[in-house]
Amino acid sequence: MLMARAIERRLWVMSRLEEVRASFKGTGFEAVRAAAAAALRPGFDWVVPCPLDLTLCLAMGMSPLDVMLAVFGRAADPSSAGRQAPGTFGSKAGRIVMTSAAAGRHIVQAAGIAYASKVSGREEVTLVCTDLRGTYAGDWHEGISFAGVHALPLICLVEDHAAGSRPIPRHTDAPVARAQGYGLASEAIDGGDLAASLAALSRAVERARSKGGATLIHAQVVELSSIVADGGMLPPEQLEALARQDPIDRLRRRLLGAGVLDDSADDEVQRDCAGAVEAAVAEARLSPSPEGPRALDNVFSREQRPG
Amino acid sequence: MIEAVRAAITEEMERDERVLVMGEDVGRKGGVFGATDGLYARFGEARVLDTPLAESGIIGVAIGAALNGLIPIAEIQFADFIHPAFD
Repeated sequence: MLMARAIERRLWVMSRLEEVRASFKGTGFEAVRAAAAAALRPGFDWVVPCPLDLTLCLAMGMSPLDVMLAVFGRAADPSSAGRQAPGTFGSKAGRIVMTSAAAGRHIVQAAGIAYASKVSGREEVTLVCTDLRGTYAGDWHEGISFAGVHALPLICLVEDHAAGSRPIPRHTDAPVARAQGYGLASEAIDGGDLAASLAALSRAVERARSKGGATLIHAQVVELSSIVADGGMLPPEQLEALARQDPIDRLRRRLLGAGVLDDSADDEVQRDCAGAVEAAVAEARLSPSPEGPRALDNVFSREQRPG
Repeated sequence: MIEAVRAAITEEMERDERVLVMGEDVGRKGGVFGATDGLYARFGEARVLDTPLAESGIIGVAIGAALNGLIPIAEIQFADFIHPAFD
């Protein structure tokens, strides 16, 4: 969570300096994403993330250097060799599937991955994430329907930031009811609470591994990125109220209160993260850009059929 | 032609258990033109999969299954049904 926050802060500074153009807008999403990764087995389970899902992908095996190589568009970027927009993560070894920015469209591919796990008799779980918009897409319904019919080892995590910066009227309880209609287990949680998120995700993983079928988790989160960057548009008392919902500060208050964390240990972890990010930025700056003749690498398959 | 298609699918399914066929009415009915006739009884419902009338789902699930090691044959019943799957 702290590493993701440190990367986001560094990107914000570099964007303002016009060195790079990248912002992952994940500030406020860290708790539920870290909980999802903690409930899964990295490299064994599959994740089909939202684009820009920094916390989840870091926890599933991407490094700060991997992130910065993509941000600088370098040839060594392991996700796409500098082709994709920064934050579009993919890793074959980490079983992180690259997704497009079209919300909700990747649920059908995730259902296919989970179907293959089921018919092959493997215990893998597939996690697919979307924002609330994605649950209105037709493909979301097709994928959730398929997952329900076949009781797939699939978890759909809906990261809903409606309660924070974008108070658009909508049916915020709808995903849970819709998922139940398709035969999935479902629950709504406070995505800013790490312990509650971990408990819900762990229940869903246990259900999937024990052939109990698919689960939808509707997590309410407060998106702080846009507020931090352009906060002057909101009244100060509203900003302060939102800042108190910052999942990292909530966890910090809890750990300090329980006596398992003190200020010096907290400072040390934050310094370590900031140091790792600086080292990643320095290395990525020196890394070479892709060469023109390599532009078509990995665009067309040379294989006749999958191995 | 239909017999040739059916023979080719059967041969591949015999040869490699990762191969499966999925689409609208390919299971019990055996396909709208009979291209998968008899395959459901022979290979079972996990490998001869009736899907909902949802083409984007058929193609999307096939892509995901291929990503995770299977070799799916995704059938779209008629050419004009492919358009909803372009996403």
